[in-house]
Amino acid sequence: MLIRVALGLFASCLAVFLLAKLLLAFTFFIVAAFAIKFAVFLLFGAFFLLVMIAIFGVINNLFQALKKYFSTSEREYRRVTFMKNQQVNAHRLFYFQRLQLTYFKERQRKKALEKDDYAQITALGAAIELDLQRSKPLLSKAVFRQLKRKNRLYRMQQNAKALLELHHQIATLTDK
Amino acid sequence: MLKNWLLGIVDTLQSLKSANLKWNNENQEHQAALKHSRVLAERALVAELKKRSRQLKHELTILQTQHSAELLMFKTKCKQDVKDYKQYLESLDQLKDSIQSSYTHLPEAVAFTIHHHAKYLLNEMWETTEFEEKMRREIQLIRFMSTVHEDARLYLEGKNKEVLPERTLKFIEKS
Repeated sequence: MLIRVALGLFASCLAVFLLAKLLLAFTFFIVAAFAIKFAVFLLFGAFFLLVMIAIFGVINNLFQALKKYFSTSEREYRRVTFMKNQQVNAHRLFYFQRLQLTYFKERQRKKALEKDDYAQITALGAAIELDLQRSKPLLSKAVFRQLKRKNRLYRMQQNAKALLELHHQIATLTDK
Repeated sequence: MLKNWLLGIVDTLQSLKSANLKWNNENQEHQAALKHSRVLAERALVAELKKRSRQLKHELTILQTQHSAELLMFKTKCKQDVKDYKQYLESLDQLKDSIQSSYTHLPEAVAFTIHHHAKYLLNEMWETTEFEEKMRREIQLIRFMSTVHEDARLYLEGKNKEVLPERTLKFIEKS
């Protein structure tokens, strides 16, 4: 309805402009000036009306959207979706909590293993040290020092294989 | 002429209006029925959604309870597993002590190798995920431990005069 009014205002504004043109042609300047002012007024009125219609349309749409968003069915639908998401999240949380527990278990096991490895290597190193001290008279000073240094180094490196080889080397040298 | 043209337009508009009015009048009942059924469908949908959300909430509560119970059980199992592993390591240390106390002149390197092999078998058993394989490896570990103990016992009883626990060393060579 309001659009019709706006369009009517436009049409009448055009008509008044035409009339003003005719009046100007017939040298009725004062009346023509009034007619032009009136036509401009009608044109602004039409524009103002159109702008108001647009603003009203936007507000109305916004209101309708808000009304729909807060309607009971939409709220219930959102609640259902939320619950479904909560279930998915619960499954995910469970999976990661299990993963975390497995990780900590494995870490504790590795720690116990490392502790035991350290104790065993230390014992082996101490035994090698004892063997070295016993074989000191049979070895030259340089070899003794080198073997001793190797023993200390391999103990620091926690290198069991190298320590075993060193033990074998000392035994071979002593047998000679 | 202009007047006739304008009158024609007005007539057309009025005839359109009257046709619209007539259509509305004829279909008033249908429109009311449609509106009514729309409202009913909306209510039914809301009721269905409410029921579904209640059901989901119930399921979620059950799921959370189930998960917390399972996690608690899993936590206890993990603690027990670590405890078992530590106990295994202690028993391997005892195994080493036992063989060293029997064979008094046993080189530390040999004792270390025996202990290291036992630990290797233990870790193999522990890290296997398949049940049957795990059982097989556990039996292997137990057999190895019993071989070591047997060697120690025989040496203590004087039935074995060898300087080294030969049966144990053969077992290591074989595996």
